[in-house]
Amino acid sequence: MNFIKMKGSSIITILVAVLIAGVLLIPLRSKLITVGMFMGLVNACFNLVQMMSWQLSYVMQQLANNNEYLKDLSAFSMLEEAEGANDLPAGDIGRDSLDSIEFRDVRFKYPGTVRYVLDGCSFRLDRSKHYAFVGINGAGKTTITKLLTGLYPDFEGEILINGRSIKEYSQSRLKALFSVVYQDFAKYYITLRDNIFLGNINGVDDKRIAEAIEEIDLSETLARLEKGLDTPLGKILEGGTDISGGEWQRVAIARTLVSNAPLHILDEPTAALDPVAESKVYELFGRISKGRMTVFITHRLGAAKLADEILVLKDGKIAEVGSHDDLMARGGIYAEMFEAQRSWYA
Amino acid sequence: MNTAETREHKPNVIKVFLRMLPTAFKAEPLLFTLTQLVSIAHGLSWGITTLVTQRFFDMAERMVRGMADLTAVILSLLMLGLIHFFNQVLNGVGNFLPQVYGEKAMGRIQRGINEKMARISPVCFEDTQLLDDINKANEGKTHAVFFVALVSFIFTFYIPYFLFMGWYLFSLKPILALSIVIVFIPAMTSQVLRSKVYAGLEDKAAPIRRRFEYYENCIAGREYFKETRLLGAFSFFMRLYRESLELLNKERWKATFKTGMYELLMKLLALAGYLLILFMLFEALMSQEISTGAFAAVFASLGALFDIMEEVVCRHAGNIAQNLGTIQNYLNFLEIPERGGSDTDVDPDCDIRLVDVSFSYPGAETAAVKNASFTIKKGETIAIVGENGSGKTTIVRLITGLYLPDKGYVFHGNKKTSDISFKNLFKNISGVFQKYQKYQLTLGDNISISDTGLKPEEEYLDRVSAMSGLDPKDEAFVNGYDTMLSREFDGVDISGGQWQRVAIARGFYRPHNIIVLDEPTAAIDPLEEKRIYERFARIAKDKTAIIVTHRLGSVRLADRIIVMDKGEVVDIGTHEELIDRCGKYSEMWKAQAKYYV
Repeated sequence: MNFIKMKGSSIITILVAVLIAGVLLIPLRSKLITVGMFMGLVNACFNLVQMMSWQLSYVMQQLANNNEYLKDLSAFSMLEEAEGANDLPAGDIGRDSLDSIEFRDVRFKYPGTVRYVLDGCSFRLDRSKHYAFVGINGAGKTTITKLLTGLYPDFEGEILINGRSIKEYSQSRLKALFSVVYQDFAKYYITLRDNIFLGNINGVDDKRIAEAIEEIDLSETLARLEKGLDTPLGKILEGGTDISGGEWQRVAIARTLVSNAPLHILDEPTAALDPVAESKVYELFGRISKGRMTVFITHRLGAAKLADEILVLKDGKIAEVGSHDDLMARGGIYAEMFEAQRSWYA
Repeated sequence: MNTAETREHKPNVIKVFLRMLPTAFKAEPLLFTLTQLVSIAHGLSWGITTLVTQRFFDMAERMVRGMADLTAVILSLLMLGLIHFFNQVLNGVGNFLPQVYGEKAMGRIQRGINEKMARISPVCFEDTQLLDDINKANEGKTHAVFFVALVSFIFTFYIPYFLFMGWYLFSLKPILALSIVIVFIPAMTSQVLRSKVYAGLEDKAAPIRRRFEYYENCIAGREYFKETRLLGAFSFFMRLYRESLELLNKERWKATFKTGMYELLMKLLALAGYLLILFMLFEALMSQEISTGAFAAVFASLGALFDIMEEVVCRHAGNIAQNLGTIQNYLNFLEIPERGGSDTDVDPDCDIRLVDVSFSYPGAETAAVKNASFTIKKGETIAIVGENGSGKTTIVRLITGLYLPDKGYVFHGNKKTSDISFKNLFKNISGVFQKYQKYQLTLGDNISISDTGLKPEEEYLDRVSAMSGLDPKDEAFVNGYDTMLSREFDGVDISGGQWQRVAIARGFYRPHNIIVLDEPTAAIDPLEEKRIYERFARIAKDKTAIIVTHRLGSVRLADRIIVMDKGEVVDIGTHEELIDRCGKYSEMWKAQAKYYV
């Protein structure tokens, strides 16, 4: 229907052009204007016709389009910004700078939803111990890591780090405190060196990277890469090489290896691994995390057993806390879940 | 790309056009014919406008000399108005019709592509080459429609127009017909030059652009931002982003500058041609070979002549040359061999027999499954275990007939899977797969989509939901079965575990004699996992069931266990038998069981 509008305006122009040509006939006949001038004017008028139909409507449409784009742009720039979200992690936080983490009656729901994922969640984590969070799907395990790392600041209750509210910490200090291996960890298609370097962006030397590769069993992979550490992974950069899913996962864990962060968090990293590979990851992580606070999030209870303390989440609250033996003796949710899994192997 | 391929991909405009023409015509015969007729009229109307303009000017001049009266002049003026009016109407319709036709024809062609895809053997989809081919075919489809339209416009619009103009100029003075050639030369040269410069630019810029877009994604992409932010890697990627952006801009500027210079040159060439024609006209006018009116009319339409020539040579011919390759891709796609098989009925209650089956994925060097022979009796529950990459999923696809073996046979009853059409093969098979689809539909639709023939009854939905551990009354499902499972459509997001239950319910919903569970419980907590397997064992009692898993705990409910390693079936037996005699199995078992003792 655009065409009708467009052609409507050019048809009006034709009428006007015919009219002008008609009127100009009078001075032409009385020789007030020359034939040349008459022809020039008439041509100019008819030239307008084509211009009116295509160019004018094109320009109008562009104008309307760009106006809409501008609206989107201003809506985007009006979005609230999280201060310091893009800062580097603070460089001066060492491995010993974390004494305790405490959740006091924390409640949280995701924006736009009504259900509280965490509903009065309280617990305390102390330095140098290994913790496991277990619980059924949707109990709020992953949400805890998201709050802890400052991704969602809008919670109720209190989260204390070393006895001070998390809200007093700058983004840059929070980043320096945690090193997380997510279930859906990022595969950065950059060089292997840079992939590991990102784990400690304030500076890792090649020696440390080489050690990490050794520790994490990536030496064979490295030997296969054409340009060694400088080989881009994935197929985005020229000369890039694909590596397997298991190798990607080890690269992600290598990032936490070079990190100085006092707390390591592993968020269900083994769901897609076969049992032999899974047990390798657990052993590896146990080895590299000695002397650091670690948090393991899993519903494979076999792995949780390795932790010093197990926190069982149910309906957004901590339902049980204790060592594997304590919890088994108590005969609560954990014991029931563990029995369910063990019965398969009995 | 090797040379043989290059030669094969050198398509011929005429050949492609002749192959596409019947498709394009059949898609919308009436519209297509109408479009072409309008186009002829449109092309001629441009030429006739010039002719009528000349008549009008001649009349006006004669009137000045007292050789004609006012009414005759006004009459020819009205004539001129009328022809302009028709020209505009035809111009509108001529631009509108192809759009309508394009949309409709594209729909038809798309349908052809989709139907073709359904007929291609699923194993081809493992080959990334095919996925590329499909993408290319889709791209080719868009171009194909426009290609046919453009080529036919050359015949129905441009050629009639230039013929008319040529004839008209020739009738004024033969030498003037040369103008058409003079108009053609600069347009042609500039087109040739342009395609060379732009092609070079794209070659250089493409990898830089890909990198640049990737870095942007690393900073703000959904899959990356969480981790990038926590790692504090923003400035790292920002630096890379800036660097690649600068590089890209440099390349772009270089090419733009070059093109600009060429363009200037071409414009000068066109100007020279313009002046040359003008001079010829002037000469003819001075020697009184043409009338003043003819001079003015041709002079006035020279602009349009140049424009239209540039349009056909630069825009359209360029497009045609550029897109010919993609259209060839589309045509090639239509020639990919299809999966056959006849609609013979399969006895739903039958044994499945594998005889020396081997299979490799297209392009892979090692076989995914090697020399597998075994029989699954009807009603049996079979578990298939093995490490990641041992061929578990592949063998299931061979058993169900989704893939056909390279060597050996798979029998359902007494019929080979290669002889049975998809429709009949899958009539009685249902499955729950590792990578299930999360449809952006309601909960009820997400479950009942596995059998669209059945009208979903609440009671039946309740039953399969209960089997899958899915509670439609859970507060996550605000509207029960009518809850839309997508934030995009104003619905809700549910957790991975919930989704997995939906997928399991979907598998149970479909009527089946054979059911496949391919690692469906990875994201479900242990209590629920156990319950699902127990319920499954109960309902699968008289049905053939195949469970693929590497959680060995769950395989004990199977009648027999198939152990796979590196594509080979290393052993078949019950749990007890295998623990005693199969090294691979007991190794896997111990790795898992040690956490629970």
